Amino acid sequence: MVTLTRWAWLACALVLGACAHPITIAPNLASLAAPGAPVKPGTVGLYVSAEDKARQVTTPGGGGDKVSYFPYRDLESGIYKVLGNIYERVVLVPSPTDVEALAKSGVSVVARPQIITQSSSGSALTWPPTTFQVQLSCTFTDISGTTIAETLITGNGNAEFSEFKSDFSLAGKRAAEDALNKTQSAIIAEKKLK
Amino acid sequence: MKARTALIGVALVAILSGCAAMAPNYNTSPASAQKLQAAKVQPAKVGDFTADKNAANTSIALRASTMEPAQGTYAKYLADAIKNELELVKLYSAASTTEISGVLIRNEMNTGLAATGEGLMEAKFVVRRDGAVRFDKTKQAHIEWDSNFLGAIAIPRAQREYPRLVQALVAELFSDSDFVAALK
Repeated sequence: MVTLTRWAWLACALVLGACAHPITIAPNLASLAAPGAPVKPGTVGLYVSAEDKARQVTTPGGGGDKVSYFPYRDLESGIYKVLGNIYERVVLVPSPTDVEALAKSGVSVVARPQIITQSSSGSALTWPPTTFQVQLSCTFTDISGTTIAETLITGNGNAEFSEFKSDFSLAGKRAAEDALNKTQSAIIAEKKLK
Repeated sequence: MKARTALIGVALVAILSGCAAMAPNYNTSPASAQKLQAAKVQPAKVGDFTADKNAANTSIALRASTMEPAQGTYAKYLADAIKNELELVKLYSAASTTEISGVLIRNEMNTGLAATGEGLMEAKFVVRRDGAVRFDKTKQAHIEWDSNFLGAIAIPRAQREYPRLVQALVAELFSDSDFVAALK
């Protein structure tokens, strides 16, 4: 009986250990305030590929566990909002290289984000990450595909147990919001983007 | 020894699958909101959203756990979702005479017993301009996702999918040509 119980616990631990805890790092859009009226003229196209939207990543949590999430799916609307805060108009584009379609929709510059994430926890007893990083780069091209500018920033988010016990994704959300706010400032400051 | 093992087991089960959790924030879908922008509709405001007495409005059961909205009700969650979508494309105006209101009719998340989880949401939407009804329809959305036998995995996966269910319902609404016409 004791042996059976041990095997059951071991099986349980293996099954749970093999799976990552699902979280979402989608930011609170209200935290992405506009600097005022749009500061750059024209229409910017936002391109996120279908492969990126479907990409699920797994990074470390606490206690030897992992967390999984969809960084592009979670951050797409935040990036859209940041671009809308800066430019007069923002549209999603299905292709960054379809010159005719881009010209037809009035797009003068295309933004293509790349997201790299990291997470960790100092806790051996709880699985949610206490520290999260979102590295967000944005490559801007003209409609012929020539690179105009690139921004690269890292957003950081931390959350302690007393904070994340009702929101296991809190560190990730804070990192996403930090990354998006810093990206907004970086794009505004980029002189090559008129 | 057996008693201690049993106690640990009970505690683990409670921690892993017996808690109340908050529903994730709604994540807007630019692809849906952009349809309104492309159609050049007029800005609108969001009015009252209520719930049918049979709809899960304050809490959704996910096996032994529950999921509750930060707004207090899922009707308000849906109202905020539409407001956020309109704000994303700068088509929300609290001063507008065009108002979108609604009634939540169904709001269900089923973690399934193993492979597939399912979500179903149904709501009636009404658009009024200067008090006159311009649109009155019921829309429904259904989504599926990979679920799991273990509650510790199935429950958070269902929680993570809830905003996608609301996105699907909003996309149904925004894709309705009568709705778009009512906002013009």
